Amino acid sequence: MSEAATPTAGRTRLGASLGLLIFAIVVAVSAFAQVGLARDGTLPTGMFGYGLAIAALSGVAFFVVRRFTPYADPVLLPLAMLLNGLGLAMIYRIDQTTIATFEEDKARFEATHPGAKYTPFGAGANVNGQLLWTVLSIGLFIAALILLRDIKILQRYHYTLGAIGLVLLVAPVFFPGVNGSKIWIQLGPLSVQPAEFCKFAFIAFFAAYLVKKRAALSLVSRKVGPLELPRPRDLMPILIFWVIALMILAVENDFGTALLFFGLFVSMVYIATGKVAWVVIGVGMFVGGALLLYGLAHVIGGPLEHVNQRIEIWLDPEAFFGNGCSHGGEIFNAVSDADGYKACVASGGNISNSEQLMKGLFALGQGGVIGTGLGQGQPYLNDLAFSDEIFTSFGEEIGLTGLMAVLLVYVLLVERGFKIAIATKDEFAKLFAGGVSFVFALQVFAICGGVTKLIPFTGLTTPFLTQGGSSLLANWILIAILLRLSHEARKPAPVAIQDEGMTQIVNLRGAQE
Amino acid sequence: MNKELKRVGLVGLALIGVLAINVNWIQAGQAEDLRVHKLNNRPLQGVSLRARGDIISADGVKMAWSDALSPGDAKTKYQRRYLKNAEAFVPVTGYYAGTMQQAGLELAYNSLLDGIDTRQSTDSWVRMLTGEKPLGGTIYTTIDSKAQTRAYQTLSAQNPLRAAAVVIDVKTGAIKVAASYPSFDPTSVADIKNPGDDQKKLDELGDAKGQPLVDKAYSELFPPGSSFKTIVAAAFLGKDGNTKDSAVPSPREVPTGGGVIGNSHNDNICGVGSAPLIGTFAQSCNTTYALLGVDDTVLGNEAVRAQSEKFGFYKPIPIEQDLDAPASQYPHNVDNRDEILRGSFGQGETKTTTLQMAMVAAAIANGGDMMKPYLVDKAVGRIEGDKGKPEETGTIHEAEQETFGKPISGDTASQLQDMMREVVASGTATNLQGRNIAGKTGTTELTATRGGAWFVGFAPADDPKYGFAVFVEGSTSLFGASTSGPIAADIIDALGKK
Repeated sequence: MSEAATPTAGRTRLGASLGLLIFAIVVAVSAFAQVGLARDGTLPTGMFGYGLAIAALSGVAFFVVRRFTPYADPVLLPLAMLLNGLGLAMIYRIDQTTIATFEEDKARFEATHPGAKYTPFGAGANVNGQLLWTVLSIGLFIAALILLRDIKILQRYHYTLGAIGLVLLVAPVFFPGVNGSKIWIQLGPLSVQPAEFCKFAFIAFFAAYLVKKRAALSLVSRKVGPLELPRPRDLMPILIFWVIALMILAVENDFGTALLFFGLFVSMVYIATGKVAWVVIGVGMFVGGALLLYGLAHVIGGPLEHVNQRIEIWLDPEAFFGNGCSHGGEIFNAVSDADGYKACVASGGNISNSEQLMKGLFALGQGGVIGTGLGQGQPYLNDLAFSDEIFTSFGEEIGLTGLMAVLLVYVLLVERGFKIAIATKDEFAKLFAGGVSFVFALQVFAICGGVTKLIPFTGLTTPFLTQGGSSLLANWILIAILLRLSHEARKPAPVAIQDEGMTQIVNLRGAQE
Repeated sequence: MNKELKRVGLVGLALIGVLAINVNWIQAGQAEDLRVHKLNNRPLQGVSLRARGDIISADGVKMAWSDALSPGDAKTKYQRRYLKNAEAFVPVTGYYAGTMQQAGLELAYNSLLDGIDTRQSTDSWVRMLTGEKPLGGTIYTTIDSKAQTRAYQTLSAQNPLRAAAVVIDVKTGAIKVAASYPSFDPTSVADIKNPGDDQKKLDELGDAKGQPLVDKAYSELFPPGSSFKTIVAAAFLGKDGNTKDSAVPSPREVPTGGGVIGNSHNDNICGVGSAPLIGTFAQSCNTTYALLGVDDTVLGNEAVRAQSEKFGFYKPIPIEQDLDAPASQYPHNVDNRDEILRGSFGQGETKTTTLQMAMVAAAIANGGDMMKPYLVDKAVGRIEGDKGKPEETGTIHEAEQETFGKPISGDTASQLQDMMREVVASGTATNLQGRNIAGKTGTTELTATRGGAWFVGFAPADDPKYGFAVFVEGSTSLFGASTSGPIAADIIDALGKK
């Protein structure tokens, strides 16, 4: 499967790409317009500014693609732009200071909470910040397209990249945690989630490592039923990785990242070797490790409890609504006041709150099949409606119908990624694109599954939608790399020079006369 | 590698597929339940932007409704309003404060009134798709506004500390009157523009004498006094061979651990040693019923407990969804004989709601069949029709008349009816002769200066339509017959004057 996978090989398809891009811009700008119409009854003044910014960014990105990677996949850029634009519109929408009932809500809050300061709903939604990050991301995207002429450079420096990845991964341990998870690095006013970037560092490292070790890892030591087990000594790297992942899990309380790294490792080893045994071993070890931690947490408590709480909340969110106290596997009633809080801690219990999850589900319920319409729901009632819970915010306002469309965009992104992986010839590029695409799918699954109570909450970011710079930057770089790979795969092979003209007869003697 | 890539790719797509299925399940399958989930406070937010539905009495009086503050404006806010003498209707409507606290039907039927009830959204699903907005639904209650107003007037005329009156249609269980004193004007806490003032007012009401925020019709427990003798008598009649003419002990006094139990008066029935049940009932001899509650050879504590339970004691009484009356109590399983003695004629640890006693009377009046009480006849959904005018869609809730149980046999019921008629004919309530009403009086001494007066019974006396319970608490000069009896008769008269 090479040329057949891409029947359009050799054609640029830039026209189609531009059409799709314009469509994406129109959808995003319409979203802004709808928010304004629903909220204030007029087209929002900001709409033109944001619309213009999105259009300009798209235009610049498109011309850079046209100049440097004209044969690249035509769909990726419009898809990413569409999600990015919709995310901006939703964040703009959640910024609540102009809602009709703002004064009323404020007065009500002040009446029922004398002396407390009123924080408006949606506080923390920062559309201008997100726009700035979008600009930076597109800038980085362009830089990556121009500079990464050859993805092999990543292969060459894979040990360096692996080391950088590890450093990035461990760094947050030395910074204060947020919401019980140590996944941030504070750099002055900026807080960065390094995990977003070390994904790529690790994928590059693994891809290069696996290209080297493919043969060894494919060796079979013995067969157990249908499973062909690898040699024990080849298990070493996976063991080391397993320990690292569990340590992340334990120390940083970042279940999501551990899951992602495991997913990328297992999927890439499988792609490289084709041995199902690796998958079985990998998944078994991850599940085993998670259960081990879960069991240990009950015994020794401490930082491990955080992961536990997420599982407990997932199992019984209602018990933890508005703070519940779990103690040795038992759940006590809501802890609403300082005394209850103290009593819970004194008894060695843990306080957790499932409000975010439940409110997200309530938002989905409110949206139903067709949604409330952009600007007409109340997604801002959930504290993190613009970040962790943005998927449910969309669910409320554009309904099941809209969420299916959003998921379809993700499906297309993943599908294009794998298509690119299949289309390229280079083993490293194949592994890299395959790993990146699978991890992307897994991330969408983990975060959206977390907020819809399909799996315990993981605290990952929703690609392109979530408010937050790290995620945007990382995902735009991913798009740049995929574009570069697809360009290399689909560009026409250089044509040999056929016609050299008539053979000339040179009279050597005449020259001496 | 391509084979593996395809497989891994399919796994990746399958993951998103699982997500899609799960989202479908939540947003299409569970959406309805999530919308009315008890922890979901979304309906409370931005609520003033919705046209909330009306609460209407059985005779068509709007008790509560919402007005657009700036009609014609799509972004108008709505202010909750109550009719002029809304104090009388608070036990029914409850209140809907600007701070978003609610009570009564405003709370129990919140989602329906707000137009976000699941039944309504499915009803007008197609309309919703075409962009028609569901409005708040309308609730038609069983309350008779004239009798309700009369009840509140007559109760407050006594200037009591606390008082309540409940009237039930014996055939259906429909609550025709549910009045409570002290009350307040729900308009005074409903101002959405000044939730601060609303909160202040609510705080004041919370500390006010007699606790106006807690309705006395079905939310508070009081000692039923001698009206409880109805239940003891029912238990006695339920035993084989007992009739209203069977002899029961009727001593002058019953010694207890601390003092004695005596009768309010001694005559040729109370205090003569033994008398027919109907006589002791009409004259309300305390000693008889105290002894019936402890003497296993005649009746005993267990028999009274079992009878109480059949009438609905010990369990909350469901009135509407999310609206229950608290469980009434009669002491049992206690070693303290005095407590049982006192409890058996309705003092001490015996406590009931006014509603519970009205249900007992209604069951007696209905030949022993007890109907489940209810307040809401039906609820109708509304949508925004042409030119923004509200249009009723379909009935989305209709009361089902359910049997609550059969606590007593038809024979026992008819004997108890005779006994209640005898109370008016020759007993403690002869002042009510000519008012076509029958019942049991009750006078309780709560403290040295505080007393309560009960009248629990049915009307009309010859062909019972309504069961009722009236309770007035105030000074010690209150008596069941002279205070609560006439009030009950007045309320019934108001019901009759359609």
